Amino acid sequence: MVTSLSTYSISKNYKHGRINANKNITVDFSPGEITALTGHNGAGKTTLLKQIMGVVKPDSGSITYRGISFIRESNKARELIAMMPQFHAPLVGVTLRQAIEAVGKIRGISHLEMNESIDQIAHDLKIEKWLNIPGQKLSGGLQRLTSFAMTVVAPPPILLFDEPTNDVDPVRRIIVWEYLRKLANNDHIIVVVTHNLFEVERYADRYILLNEGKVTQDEHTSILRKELLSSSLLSITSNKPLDEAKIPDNLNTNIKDGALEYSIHLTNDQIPKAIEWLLQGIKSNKITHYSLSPFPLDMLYRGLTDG
Amino acid sequence: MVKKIHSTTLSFDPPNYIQRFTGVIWWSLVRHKYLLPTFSLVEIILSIAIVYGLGLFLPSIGPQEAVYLSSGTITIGIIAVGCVLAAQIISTAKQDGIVNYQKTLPVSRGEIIIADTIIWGVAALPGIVMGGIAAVIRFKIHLYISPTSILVIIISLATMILIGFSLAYWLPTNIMSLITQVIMIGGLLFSPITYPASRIPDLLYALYQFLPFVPTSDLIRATLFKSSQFSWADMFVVLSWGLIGYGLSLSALSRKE
Repeated sequence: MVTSLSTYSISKNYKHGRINANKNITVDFSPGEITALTGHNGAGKTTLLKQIMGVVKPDSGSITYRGISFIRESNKARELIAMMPQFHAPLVGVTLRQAIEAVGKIRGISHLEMNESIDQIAHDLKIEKWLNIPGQKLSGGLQRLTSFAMTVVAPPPILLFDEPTNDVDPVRRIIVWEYLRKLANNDHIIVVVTHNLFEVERYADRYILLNEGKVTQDEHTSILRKELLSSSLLSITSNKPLDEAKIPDNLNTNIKDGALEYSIHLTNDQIPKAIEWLLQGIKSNKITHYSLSPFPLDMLYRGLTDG
Repeated sequence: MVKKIHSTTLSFDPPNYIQRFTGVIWWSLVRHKYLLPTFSLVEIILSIAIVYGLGLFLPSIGPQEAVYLSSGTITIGIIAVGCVLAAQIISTAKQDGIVNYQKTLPVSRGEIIIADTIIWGVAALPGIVMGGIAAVIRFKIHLYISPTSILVIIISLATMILIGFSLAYWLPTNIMSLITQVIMIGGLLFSPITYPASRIPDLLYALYQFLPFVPTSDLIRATLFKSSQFSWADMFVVLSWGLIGYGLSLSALSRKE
């Protein structure tokens, strides 16, 4: 039996076809893999998650898992999927512990296992000391972590997360990704919507880039990492305009008008000559500041979308 | 460091029906742990206010007026619970995102509706009991507590709550609030619930026979006060509205974007 989650030619329009949220999306999500879903606001990421979850009905296409159509059998989808919403899960009037316990009860954790499960998750996410605080009194980051905990308590085979690390502090962001890795290692299908490209590069196995409802990129992050290391960006600030004819060979140069700022995209082979030219500029007091780094992910991302 | 994950894809078993259902009820009880007793208290105050307050409008209270005021107290309490308070609570839950979140959990839409109906129905019982006690004390009236009268109260409660839910699920908050106010004012002032139907025009009375409010009060008078004949037609109307309320709530919850 195929255990991947498959979406085939999913399309979803709103406002009588004027807004195309998703256009012919065909992707497979495999167990053991963390897939990041990225793209601009309104690119159709959340719509795709909601269609998988069965709360939004596609106009066409199919979503199947182990021979089950999640479009026809949305009750099965709810048993086999847990979804962390984009906004905080409802926590008004309940403590963090009660919120996790409620979903645990509904998802079938026995009374005997309940406390152990909650304490374990709270310990793993380092949120133990807030367990008995009412949800409305928690900070945005803690509310999001609670929502995360509600999703992963008694985790079903497919887990969907909509921006799980937003508002979360840098230490616990790493913990969240480590938790996702553990879940993936236990053969869960993990799909994460995120705008944080650095986290994608570092923690996800694969990324799917959506632009205007279409998949524009779908590849493993190892390829992305290789791509990022295959070129560099030399950023320069000068105190007077530089002679553009003397700028060494490069892939692309971007000059910010009036700001005297230059972004030079270089292949690794072009770096030595560029450094030579840079040093001359520093000696002649024309260049006041510079930095050389691997080509940034956000610029690559901009090149792949219309942003 | 993540030490343990509690299940994997290979060992996943969906929870059984009872466990899921009790989970939904438990979550709702915890969420409303402060609201539920307040709700019951408001119901009690409302019941006493109708028995003692509405009586002040009448120059003298004979046996017939006493029965109408007593049964009207219970009926209006039931209407207030279902069509006003429960509706507002669901509307708030909708705004807070609870309804959308529940839609992603492995519980059927029917279970969500039944669980909420049970919770708000139980919360309304102290008010109904207090209404009966106030009527007995104030008017020295006899209550016929029997399986039939209890069943009628349960069916009436469920119907009003389901009507309230369907209003809350389908309508925007401001429209829902307006309609619930109209129902309450209509129930208190213009429906033949706290006074005999002979005092309103025949046409209006005929209309009221198709709405659930007057048949509910007729059924309560016929069973709990035995002041009139039990009418299957009234029961049919009340049950029909209950089914309509359930169907509309279910379709609202099952609706996909």
